[in-house]
Amino acid sequence: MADLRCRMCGKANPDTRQECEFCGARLSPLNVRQGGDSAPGGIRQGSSGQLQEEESQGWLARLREQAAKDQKEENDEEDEGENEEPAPDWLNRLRLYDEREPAAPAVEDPSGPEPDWLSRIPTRASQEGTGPAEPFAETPGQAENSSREAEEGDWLSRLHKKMELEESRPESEPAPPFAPESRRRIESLLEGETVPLPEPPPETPDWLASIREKVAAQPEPEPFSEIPDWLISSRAPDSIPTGTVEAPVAGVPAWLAGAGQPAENDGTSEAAASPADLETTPGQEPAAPRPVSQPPEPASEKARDVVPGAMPDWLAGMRPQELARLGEGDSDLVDEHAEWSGPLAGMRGILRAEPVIALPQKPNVARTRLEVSDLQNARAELLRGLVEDEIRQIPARARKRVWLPLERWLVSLALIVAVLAPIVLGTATLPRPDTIAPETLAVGDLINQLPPSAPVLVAFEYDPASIGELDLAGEAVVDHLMVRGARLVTLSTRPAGAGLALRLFEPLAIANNYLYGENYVHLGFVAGEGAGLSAMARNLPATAPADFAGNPAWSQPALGGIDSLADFALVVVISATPEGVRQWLEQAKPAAGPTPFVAVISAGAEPLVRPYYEGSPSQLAGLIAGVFGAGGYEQLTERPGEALARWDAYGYGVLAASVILLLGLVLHGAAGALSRNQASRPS
Amino acid sequence: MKLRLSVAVAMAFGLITLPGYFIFQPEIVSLRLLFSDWAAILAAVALILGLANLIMVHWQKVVGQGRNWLSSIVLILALIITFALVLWQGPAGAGSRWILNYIQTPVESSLAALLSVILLTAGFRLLRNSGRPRVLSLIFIVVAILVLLGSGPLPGERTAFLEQFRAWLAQVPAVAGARGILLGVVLGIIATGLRVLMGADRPYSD
Repeated sequence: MADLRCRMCGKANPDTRQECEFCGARLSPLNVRQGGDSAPGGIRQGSSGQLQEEESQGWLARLREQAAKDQKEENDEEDEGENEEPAPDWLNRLRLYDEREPAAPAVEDPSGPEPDWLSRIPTRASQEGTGPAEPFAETPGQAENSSREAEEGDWLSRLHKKMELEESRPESEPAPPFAPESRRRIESLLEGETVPLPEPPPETPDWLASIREKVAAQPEPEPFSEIPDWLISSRAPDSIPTGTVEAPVAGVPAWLAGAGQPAENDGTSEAAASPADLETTPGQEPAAPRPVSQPPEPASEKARDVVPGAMPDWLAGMRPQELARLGEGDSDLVDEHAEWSGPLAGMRGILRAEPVIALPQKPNVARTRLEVSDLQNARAELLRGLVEDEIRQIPARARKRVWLPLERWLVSLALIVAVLAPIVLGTATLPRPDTIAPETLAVGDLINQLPPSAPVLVAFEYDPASIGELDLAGEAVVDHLMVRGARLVTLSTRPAGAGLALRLFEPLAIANNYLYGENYVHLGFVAGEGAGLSAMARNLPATAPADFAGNPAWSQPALGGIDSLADFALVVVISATPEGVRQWLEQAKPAAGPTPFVAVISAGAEPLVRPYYEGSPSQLAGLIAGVFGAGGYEQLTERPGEALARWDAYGYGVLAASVILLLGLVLHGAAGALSRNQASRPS
Repeated sequence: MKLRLSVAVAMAFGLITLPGYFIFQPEIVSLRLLFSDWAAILAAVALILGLANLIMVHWQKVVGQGRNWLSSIVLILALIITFALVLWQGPAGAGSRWILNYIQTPVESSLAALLSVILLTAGFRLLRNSGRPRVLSLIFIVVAILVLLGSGPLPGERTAFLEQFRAWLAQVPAVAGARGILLGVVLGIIATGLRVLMGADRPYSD
């Protein structure tokens, strides 16, 4: 398989590829015409491919034919060389030219022996008026080549001489090999003219004859419309044998095109002009081109080859077709920015590097929102906290002051001792209440006036936190009611109140021989607070159809004759807060009609409940407030109960609290006054 | 849309219920009573919803092991046991009454007792670190002492002065202040009711 060497990276690629598999550059130029012998390929290392054969068989075969013909003619004339060693044809021809031509005058060079071909370069340049050639510094490679050519004879110089001789020879003289006729034929071939093929000699090999036939059968090639610059430049000097022209390559740089010029050629240009390339038979891979070790050109000469603002043809051929069409058609889509610096200064339509490197730009990738889950966010916060803790300066921890709430402990201890001591010791040192408050007396009078088996509704509107106070007052009232033989109906609008009612009632019922269902019924919890009370005031049986245990309540004897609140003889509200009393008075009192309402409340709620009693007309017929009122009621009913049993504990507790407050007033007041005096005293 | 609908419903029910207290037309009164019954039922349902909300809040604390999640476990277990027990035996059952008498009542009573200690300690330290004499604090402490002494029995002979002083405080200044407070409460209730009826306050919205 033939290799196709990339012009950009120089690596070999299979000839079936259109683009370099290493750098992606296009291997065949876009402006190459397909078909015909004018279609150059890349820089091919082999010619075994069918396409390459067809390409090379056109002009290259003709050259070979002509060379063979010339050789045959010359063989008739020469009488020497038969005894010599068989040499290559091209070398034999060169020798023939050398023998025919007179020896060129040697150019004296003080630096040493100089090859003939090199010595002729200044002379020829002076003849063409191009000025004196610059002396070359002879490199080791050049010296080696010079010595070799000095020994073997400079075929190139002889070739130059031969061609000069041909030019000066009259038309009538027979044309030597590589005569101007061949050149003209090549030039005419390049210009598109039809060149008649010479008749094949009888000794032509079969393969060559078949090639000739194939070439003759091909249509006439189109004239070259686009001749690469490098090929034109290679045609300019007449001293270069046309046989050195390789397959026309569209993208050969100028420096490579200039390699054919004799003024810049050195000894190594033999490889480029070697007829060995022409002698290569089809199917035989020619030797790899030897590296051309040219001396480095000055920067001025390189700049001379690159025209500012113009794209070389070989580079233009590598442009993508789409971009080329854009440049020709829609000018709006072409970037008219002109490069102003660097080797591409003055060029338009180039890819600018600034937008990619220097100018700010938006990312090409669509910006997507980062979705962070709660767990990831928590971990990020944890990580951030750790990082912040690393750089945070932690102040030295101050020694924690051991603080004992001594005052609180002393207050608690004083209260506990004051309350528990009378209970534990069973003392009754404090005087019992001998005067009863009028509101308390009103409650006693109402209960005393109740007829036997009068229905009385008792509402328990307090929570377990208040049982220490309200259970004492409630027991006194309920006990009094049981003594009077009233039928008791209990309920509560608080979830815990129903249980507390049962807890209070059962001991008293046992003590007073009250039977559940006959003497008392517990309706339990009525939901809705104010709304529930309102509904109960309108329709009590519907609001509380069952008792606390879930049994039908209104079929029991204790509820006989009761359909509404107005049927009760008395309503007793035991409440720890003013709101409980207010709801009963607002929602149930209007539906109760003339039924009196009395309240048993905590001492803290008294100021807010008393207005209902003090009002005119009063909505409360009686009022018992706190342990003090409960003790007075027990004293009134002459049935001492828990209130009087804890009378000393209550009294000493109150006294201890008063003393503690007084101590605080004195101590802190004095300390404050002392500190103020010290502050006001001049230092 | 949701908010507008809730506002419209609240205003409509309020405007129908309120005239029922002043206009004694049987239709309006019956509507008022019907809505009152619905309110009592909704209050009971709200109690169940509150219970469910309590369970959810503490369950989330247990799952997330938030602050005092062990206490949340105790709460949930106590709630489940009590609910199951009352559901099984009824509120008057022995088990539910035992829980009330021996767990709930002592705990709440103890907390109330702690309140008295805390209030007393605060009163003891009321004049502490006072850079200047505070007259109101001084009056507060003096009145509290006198009321306490007049509310309880004192050793020795009865002091009629303290009892009368305490009765005067409870019946005149305290009642005056309480009536003022009650009037303020009533006015606040009326204003709040009107604002709810006009849609200015939406306590039922999110």
